[in-house]
Amino acid sequence: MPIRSCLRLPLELRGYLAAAVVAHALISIPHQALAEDADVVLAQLETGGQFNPRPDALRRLLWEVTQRTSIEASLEVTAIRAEDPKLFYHPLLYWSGRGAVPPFSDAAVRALRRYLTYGGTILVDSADEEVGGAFDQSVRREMGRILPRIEFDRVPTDHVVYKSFFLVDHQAGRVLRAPYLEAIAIEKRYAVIYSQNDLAGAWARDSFGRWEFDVSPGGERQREMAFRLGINVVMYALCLDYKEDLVHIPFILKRRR
Amino acid sequence: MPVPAFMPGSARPLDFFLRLLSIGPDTGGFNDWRIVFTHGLPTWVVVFASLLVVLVVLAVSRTLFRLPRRRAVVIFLLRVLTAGLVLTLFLRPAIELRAVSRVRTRVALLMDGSRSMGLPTASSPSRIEAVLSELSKSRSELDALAERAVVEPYVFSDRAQLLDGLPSRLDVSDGRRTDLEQALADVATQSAGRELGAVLLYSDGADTEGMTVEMARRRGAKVGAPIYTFGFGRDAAAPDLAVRRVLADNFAFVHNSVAMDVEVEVRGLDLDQVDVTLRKEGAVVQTKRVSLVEGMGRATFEFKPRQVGKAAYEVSVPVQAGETVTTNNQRTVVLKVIRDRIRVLQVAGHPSWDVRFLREHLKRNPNIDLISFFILRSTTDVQKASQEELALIPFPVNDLFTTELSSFDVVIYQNFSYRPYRMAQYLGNIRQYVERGGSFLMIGGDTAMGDGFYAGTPIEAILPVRLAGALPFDTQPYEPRLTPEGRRHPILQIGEPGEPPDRALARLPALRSINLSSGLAPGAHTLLEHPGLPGNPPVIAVREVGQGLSMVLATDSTWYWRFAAVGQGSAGREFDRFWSNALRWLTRDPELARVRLQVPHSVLPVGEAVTGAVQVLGSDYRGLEGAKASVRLVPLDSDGPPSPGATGARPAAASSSEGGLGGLPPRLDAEPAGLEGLQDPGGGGPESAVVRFETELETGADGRATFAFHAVPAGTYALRVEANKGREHVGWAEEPVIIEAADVETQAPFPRTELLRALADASSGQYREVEDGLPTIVLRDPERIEVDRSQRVPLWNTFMAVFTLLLVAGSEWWLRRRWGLL
Repeated sequence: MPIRSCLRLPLELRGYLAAAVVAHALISIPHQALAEDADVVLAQLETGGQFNPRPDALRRLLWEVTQRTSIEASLEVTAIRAEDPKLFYHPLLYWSGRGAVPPFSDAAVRALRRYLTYGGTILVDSADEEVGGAFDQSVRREMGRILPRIEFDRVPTDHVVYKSFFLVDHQAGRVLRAPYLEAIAIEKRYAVIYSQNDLAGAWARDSFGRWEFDVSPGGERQREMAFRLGINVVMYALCLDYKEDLVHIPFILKRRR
Repeated sequence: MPVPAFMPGSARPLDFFLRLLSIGPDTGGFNDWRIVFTHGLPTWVVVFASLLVVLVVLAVSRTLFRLPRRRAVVIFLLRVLTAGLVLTLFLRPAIELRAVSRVRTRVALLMDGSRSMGLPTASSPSRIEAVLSELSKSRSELDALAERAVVEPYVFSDRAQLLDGLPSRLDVSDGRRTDLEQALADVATQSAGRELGAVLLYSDGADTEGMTVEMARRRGAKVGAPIYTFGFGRDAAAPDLAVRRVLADNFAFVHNSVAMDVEVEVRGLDLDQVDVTLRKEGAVVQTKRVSLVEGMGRATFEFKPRQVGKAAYEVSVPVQAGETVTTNNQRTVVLKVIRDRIRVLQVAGHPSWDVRFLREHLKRNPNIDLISFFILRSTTDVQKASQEELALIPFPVNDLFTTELSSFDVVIYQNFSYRPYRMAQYLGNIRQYVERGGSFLMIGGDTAMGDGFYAGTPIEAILPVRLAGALPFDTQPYEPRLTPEGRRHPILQIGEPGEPPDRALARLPALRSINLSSGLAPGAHTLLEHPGLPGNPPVIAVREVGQGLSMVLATDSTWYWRFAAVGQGSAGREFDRFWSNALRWLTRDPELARVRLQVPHSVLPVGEAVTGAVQVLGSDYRGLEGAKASVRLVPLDSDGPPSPGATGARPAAASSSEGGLGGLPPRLDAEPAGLEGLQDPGGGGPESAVVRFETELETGADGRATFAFHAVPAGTYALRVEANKGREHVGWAEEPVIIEAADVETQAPFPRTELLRALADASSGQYREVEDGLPTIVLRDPERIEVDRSQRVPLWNTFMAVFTLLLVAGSEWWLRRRWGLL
């Protein structure tokens, strides 16, 4: 668009555009810097169906991760299919969705089984409107194929995932439908962590800096908790049970009193 | 069932009894008999039959209540008698006729013939002479005893040996041990057809095999005959101070406390306290003052071994004027220090996949005690939560890098810069830690090495690479290349067994980063390099620094060898092998040593040859043929307390032996001779301060060579081997060797009356001092019966047995009929 034409735009719209340009620049600069050297590049599992219902959410979470912790994470999220050999360059995988997911191919099932068995972690986030919805059914069906004979368990409230960085005492997400996280453990390590509270709905922010969704019932405190839980999951994938080391226990117990 | 036997020769009642039973055997020659059952049935059948008979008797007696009480009792008793007879005949009784003879028991007269019996007493030139003199005086009592029993004289040290008769003198110079337990076991079993009636034990009780009072009690009760013990009182002990025992496990864990208990004993000297000194290979570790109560004292040393391997620890007390034996003023033990768990300190600048997969590997190894500190939040991160809402702990820099530092086997800095944490003053500690034997590993990343500002610091001084002027962190992917050293080095043996490391490396994913350095430090080796950059900068480099080791892994992308490799079909074992190898190398795992020294015995008595084998391995860890190995035996305690043989000074034992032991132990002041190796021309002469043994070996096809050093003087030595192949220095190895000056008999030659008393008390015998003479000896079973032959005559199938049964049963039937029960 010619500059002259732009200048003729209404003042309010011009203000929005300017803000968008500045915001983009602000986000892009660290993004560019981090993309090359980042220690952590998060990948999002590309499945059939609605696999990315909150497109801006992960970027915001990773922004918070880099701002609040010493993790050097790339803000660039890579969408990847399970059959892609590059899957194993991303030890933390984010799998979200809304509604039913078509069955995975056998190759995808084998790849994900290998991925989880050898150390990969998947954060599953349901954006369904209800607990046990179509996405939930799809997740349980596919996880049953990927890791047969291993069931989801509820994550105990004293598990390290609730204290890997922040001390988190409450569930969080856009909604609070399931007052628990679920997980699948492989040799004591949670390889799959599953929230049905639409974590990404709480993280999602548009280009103008506004939250895309209201969170309920806890308001902004609940949104903050969703970020903390997300950061904790990333930290858990990177540090495993580090916070279970003996040296940490007295400090954590004291703060939890 | 056995019955009391008749006295020998009185078989007449037996003949009568047999005729009565119409058996009529030929009883000539039998002088004893007993009744036995010959049924041959299992016990449970007999019990079952007995119960059945009882039940039948009770069942058929229910009708007796109709009779008057007296008649009922008579009928019942007759029925019981009938049933008893039936049961008895069912068991097939017989008379066993025996021809027996009476045998006199024996008395074992045990005389201690160990070397300690050569020590003088207050009234006699030696203990053994005091014994022989007393036995000579008790000749009449012994003759009287010989009337009641066969007296068998024995001499013992480690085993009991039967003598032809009482000797007039005994040479105790060959008695190298005193084994009371074995001697008593020997005399208890050497019977020659006679039972043991009593033991007369003449000894100083100075058992060398670790017998305790409780063990003495058990043995005394087990002998089965009274033991009369004759010993020496405290006054009989010659003046001496000795390290009596050193109680310690023969292995310990590195960095863990070890307790070593030392028992000191003094006799005949006016001492209330004594200083006990613990030395490790000549250097004083601790000295403790011990109070002596009733001649005994105990010191406990606690210390933490800092190095893995065998080490010689010597405990000594000062030699006192007038001591009979000075060689027992010290004792040396070899402590094998092993790893409990490898303590690894992992400090990471920030969480990353490299950090995570290394931590996972280390945590999976049960032999590793991992202490991790990850910087989770940097000083520039935004703080949106209060401290109470965070699970963060302070980084205990001061504790870790001062007091605790030496407790770690390996310190890992993983993409960690010291600057934000004000750690500059601790970097010197790490350098000292490495120079004194610790291991340091720096792993790369954007805040490591030059980018971590380590150039010019004490850390750079210990690293294998130079950092000054280095280019910054590079993140372009590349395939690293092995150097010739890397191909041989154990760290990079990452393939399957026997697989060349090049092949294993070729199938691994590319690395994604490198910290560039400006060159190698002196003495460092590059094992893996970047082939695509100028100068081929090292990716992995290693170096020996002082007594420690350092390693640089100039990348933070080895996790690709684990997880990304899995995506390519591997199981990631190369990553595991790489890190296992690296940790083993950093902790100097003996299995990775290319020069190995095998010594079958670390502690030897003086006079025995020091033998062993050297094995030299090539870079491929196969036996290296034709390697030159220099083996030296170097004394360690030349500046210690009197240590016979280790120095050129004449051993104290040699002079004392002339007066106290009658030439015992063997003279230690002989010149070394008969050496298979070569004496060190610089130190082997009699005028030299240090006696050395040295030999040059060449390894065979299997990389092995053996050696033997003869006539090594007593002392504590380091047996060192250094191997070269051509111009290559392959490595070295070291083992402690102790040549004990004092034989075990003179280590603690004090009379131990408590053992002798325990033996006597537990066997219903009696303890006396030698000079008190013989008491009245009570024999166990003075005469024993020996069965020469026997014959069994059945009773159950005789006319008399049948008649008796019919008589009793008929009586019962007749009375029942008469009293109206039929």
